Amino acid sequence: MSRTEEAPDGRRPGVERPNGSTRERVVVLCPGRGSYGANDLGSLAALDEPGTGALRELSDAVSSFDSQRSHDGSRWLGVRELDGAWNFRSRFLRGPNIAPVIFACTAQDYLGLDRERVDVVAIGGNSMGWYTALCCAGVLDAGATMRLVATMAEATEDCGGAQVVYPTVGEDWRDDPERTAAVEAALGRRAEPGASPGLSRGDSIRFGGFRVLWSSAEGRAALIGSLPTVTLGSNDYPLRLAGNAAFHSPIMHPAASLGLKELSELPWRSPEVPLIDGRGVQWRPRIADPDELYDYTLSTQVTEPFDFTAVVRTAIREYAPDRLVLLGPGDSLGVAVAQVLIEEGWVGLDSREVFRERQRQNPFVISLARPEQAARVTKEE
Amino acid sequence: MSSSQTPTIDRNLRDELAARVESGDPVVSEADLAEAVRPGSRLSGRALLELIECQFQARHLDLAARRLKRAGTGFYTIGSAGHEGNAAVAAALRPDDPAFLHYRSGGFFAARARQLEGQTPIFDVLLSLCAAADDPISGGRHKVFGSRAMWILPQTSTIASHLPKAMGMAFAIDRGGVLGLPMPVPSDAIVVCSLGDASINHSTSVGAINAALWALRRGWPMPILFVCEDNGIGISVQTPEGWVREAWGSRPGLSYFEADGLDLVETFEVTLQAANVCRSQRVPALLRLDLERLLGHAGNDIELSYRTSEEIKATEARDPLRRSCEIAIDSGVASAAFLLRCYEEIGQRVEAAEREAASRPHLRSVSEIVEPLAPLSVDAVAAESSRGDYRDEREAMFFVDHSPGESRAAVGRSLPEQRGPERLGRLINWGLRDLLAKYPEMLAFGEDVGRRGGVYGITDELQAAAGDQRVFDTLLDEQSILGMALGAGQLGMLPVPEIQYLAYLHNAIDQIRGEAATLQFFSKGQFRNPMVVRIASWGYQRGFGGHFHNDNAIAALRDIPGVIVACPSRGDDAVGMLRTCMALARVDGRVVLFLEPIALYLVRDLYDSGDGLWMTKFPAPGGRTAAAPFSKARVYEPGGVGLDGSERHDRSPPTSTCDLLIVSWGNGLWRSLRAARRLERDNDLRVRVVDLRWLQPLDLETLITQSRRAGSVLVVDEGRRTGGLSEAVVTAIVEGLSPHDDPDDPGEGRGAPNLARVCAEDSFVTLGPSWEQLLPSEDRIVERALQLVRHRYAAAPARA
Repeated sequence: MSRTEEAPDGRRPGVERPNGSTRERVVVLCPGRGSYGANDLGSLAALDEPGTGALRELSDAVSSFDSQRSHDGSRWLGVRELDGAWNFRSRFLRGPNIAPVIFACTAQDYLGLDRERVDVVAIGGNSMGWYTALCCAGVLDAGATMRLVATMAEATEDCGGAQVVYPTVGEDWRDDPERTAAVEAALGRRAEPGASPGLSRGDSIRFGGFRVLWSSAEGRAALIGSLPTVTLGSNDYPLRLAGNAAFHSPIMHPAASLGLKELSELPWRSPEVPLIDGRGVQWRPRIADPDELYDYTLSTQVTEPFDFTAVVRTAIREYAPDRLVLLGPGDSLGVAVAQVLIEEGWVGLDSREVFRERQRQNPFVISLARPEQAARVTKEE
Repeated sequence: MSSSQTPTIDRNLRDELAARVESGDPVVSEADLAEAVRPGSRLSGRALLELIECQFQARHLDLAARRLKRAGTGFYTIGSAGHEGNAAVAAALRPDDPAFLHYRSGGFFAARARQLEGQTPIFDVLLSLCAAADDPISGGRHKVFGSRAMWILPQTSTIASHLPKAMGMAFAIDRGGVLGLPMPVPSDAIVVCSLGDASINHSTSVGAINAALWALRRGWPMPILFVCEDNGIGISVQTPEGWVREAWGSRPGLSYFEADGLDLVETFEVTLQAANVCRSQRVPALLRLDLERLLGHAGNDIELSYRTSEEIKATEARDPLRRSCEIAIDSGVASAAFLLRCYEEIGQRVEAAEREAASRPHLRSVSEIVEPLAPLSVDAVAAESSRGDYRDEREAMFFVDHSPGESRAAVGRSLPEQRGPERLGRLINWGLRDLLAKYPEMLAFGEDVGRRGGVYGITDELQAAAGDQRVFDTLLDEQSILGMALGAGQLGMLPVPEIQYLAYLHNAIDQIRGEAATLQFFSKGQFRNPMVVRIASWGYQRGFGGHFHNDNAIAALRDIPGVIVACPSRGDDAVGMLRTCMALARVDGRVVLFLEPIALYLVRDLYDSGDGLWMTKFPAPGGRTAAAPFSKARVYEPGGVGLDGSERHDRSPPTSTCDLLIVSWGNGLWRSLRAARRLERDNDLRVRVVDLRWLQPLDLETLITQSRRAGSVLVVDEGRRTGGLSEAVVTAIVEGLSPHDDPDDPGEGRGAPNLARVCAEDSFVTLGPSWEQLLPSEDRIVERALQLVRHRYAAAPARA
């Protein structure tokens, strides 16, 4: 996808530019599941307009994906069908329905970045955002990524299990050792002698000041019951993530096997923009081995914890961007990103208050879901 | 980057790549990146590119160091330029092969970071350059290459003083395996240790390599790869052509390798070969890399003062980064355009991160700075020192049977606490045996420690009891003995090395001063090298005189921050203190120097021949009196010496005043007690005696409290008048009794007490009876005490 943004000589302009350029160096982060809600319906309307280049490519990919589902008589919704609905329905949240829509929205956001103003120096994502990041970085084209996203959404849904989120920070977004201890204690029960299989549980996603935990379907209630109820903002925790299976866990091994089998023919390439994976590992242009990317994407990150905190940490410490850009849909990454920045004390952001003030004046984190922030980095209408 | 400040090597590289782009260099290269770069090589095109990125990263960090220095926000400019080929050394090793790196190891650091998940080497190095408190390894205490996750132990050494401990760790990897100890690195790990062609001449280097070879001849595995990064010059002094090869290329037992360090492919290949020899055969190897030093020795180095501009240009032409790019382009692995982009992209990242690093705060207070220097978990140490849950192990250790003829000091079939009072030397022996039972990870070693049982028999039969893998003889080289302790400690063992005489410590003291004492400090406590160094010490040996066997200078030990110095004078204290020392090492990773007064090893009596008062019972483990509390002095009350109460007639409450307080330790303590009795008996004086026991840190509370209760204070120091401990003791008392220091004593305080010292003279201890002129004697203590007391009463006749 990024290749279409190259300068005419085939070089990426962000790397070629001399010092003193006004373009800002940004790291782009792609959201995972749970980012698309009722307010996002209709986000993809622009894809119906005549376009060129990568946007056209994305539009075509969505169309052919929808046609294929229709042709196959799939029980899952087409992307345009879901996005074009008047009302948001709970079944939309089923992975195979929502995941392709989220991908399309994020990819559309990426293409909307104004390359005259920003130079994308690295791309990462959270959970399924990794798939989107692969597309943004040019590893897979839009059509292949649609297939990857949909196939893995169906396969992981079939594996079952659940995700439960719990905060490890307080209202000040700083570490709360008691909450961390509560999580550790809940996870520690796995190891107790005679622990039942229902206690099968673990870390699924490290998400700034939150831990997303996985459990088997039958162990979900026990997991929730083992965590003391706490409040952060207006939410009570532990909170079950509706529609989510036990992603990034050993329960997902069948999904990984299926993905490795069904998606082996996808045309994997080395990225054109550095990628940061769910361990904080960098995949560098030309150096990254497409075969290893395939293995990581369809095996490692499917069955092992995804560390979004490490993604953000590597992004800032190794790339020191001028800003972080959070692609849509929604603004699901904002809080977690802010919590990592505060933990790192990055650019002086050492408290929630300082972060808020900085965001008000000259935001370090640009969320495309917030129009006033998005205007700084997107193409003018 | 402004061109006037752009170093030539940076400009040259950009220009050369740009020229190749201009000349029609193909934009897309065709090579299969999975294929070997060269026939026969194991380095793929992809791996080559990755190493080139590491080289670029190291180079840009060097350039950043100079920019930061100019801006006043960076503080270290010794760089890796010219040595970036060491990235290939890292690539040929495993990330859990412990690495002791010298300061030109930017390429190695970058390459190893890539072998692990989630490492952020660019920002980490920048934080270190800026001495930022957020520096993940040293916390802003020094610019070092180090990382716990990457098994890179931070070095501040500039004189190769890290080689002995690297050798020690190589020894310990296999020894730990033989002993079945849980080890933090795999059993087939090897140690890599880099150094320069100048520092390879240092006695520490020569000694460490020699020790590795000596160990090999003893049949001990020694899997260590020394990497001599030979740039042909040490600051301004040229290394003679071929010197490293001449000195080490044909040393029996040392597998020797050479590679063109400017060529990544060759360096990788040869390092693999060398590492394979080390790993599979568990033997030492030395790899010489032929390199260049670019950008001078450090940022402030004016190379033109000792090199011609032609010479400088010639070295710049041999820039390893240009060479790497050439290899990549010529082999079709990457285009010049790609490499130029990559170089610039990494440069931009470094520059951007540099601004953030420069904004980070430094350590702000003394307490922040010294926080990792001397950790002390009081309760945990106390609990560990008096722990007694190892009875089975003790019985196995004490009831061991020896074959006839070997037994020189029959231990018998009873536990030592069930036996009668014994002399200091015997109790230390039993104490060590007790600790060998308590700690399976304890090693006791030194010259003559094993078979002979020590020159004074202190380690007698410990080898038979604990086995020759735990108690063993070393070569005659204190530097290597301490290096082995350092390496073993870093892998979680509890080494108890012996230094045969105090004077022998001095030629190796940097292993304590520069290495052991600094590790926790410069790693924020992430690495530690616990140890208890036993040192047979002090003078007063009759019939075995001379300076080297009677050295009495400890000034060089006491001023080392964080190091504990202990000195028992009687057997039960020695056992209790040893237990506390081991607990300090185990719980808090502390480095302890345990000074044993040789002249008291065999002493039985205190006052009169046959009184047996200097023999004590072995304190049983697990009880209240099992351990001697850390940094607590022992007080002998007036009216008797307080030994088991046997000589105590006037049981004065410890808060009572006295005419005279004598402060001493070691041999001086024994003499002070004798003098005290004479003063009480012959002069009707009430005398209290304090045995400091812990010489660093001092028990200031006891010292000052007891001084306040005394009419006069006499410090008896068997060390020298100049630099001896008495200087510190007197200072502490004067400061402590100053009204200024006493909030309860507003102006009418005691002020400077009536105080004097009896010390050894500022001389080396001589052979024959003449030494008695030099060291404090009982008569001199009595004489000086009387002078002091008379002066006090002349000045203030009314007794308190």
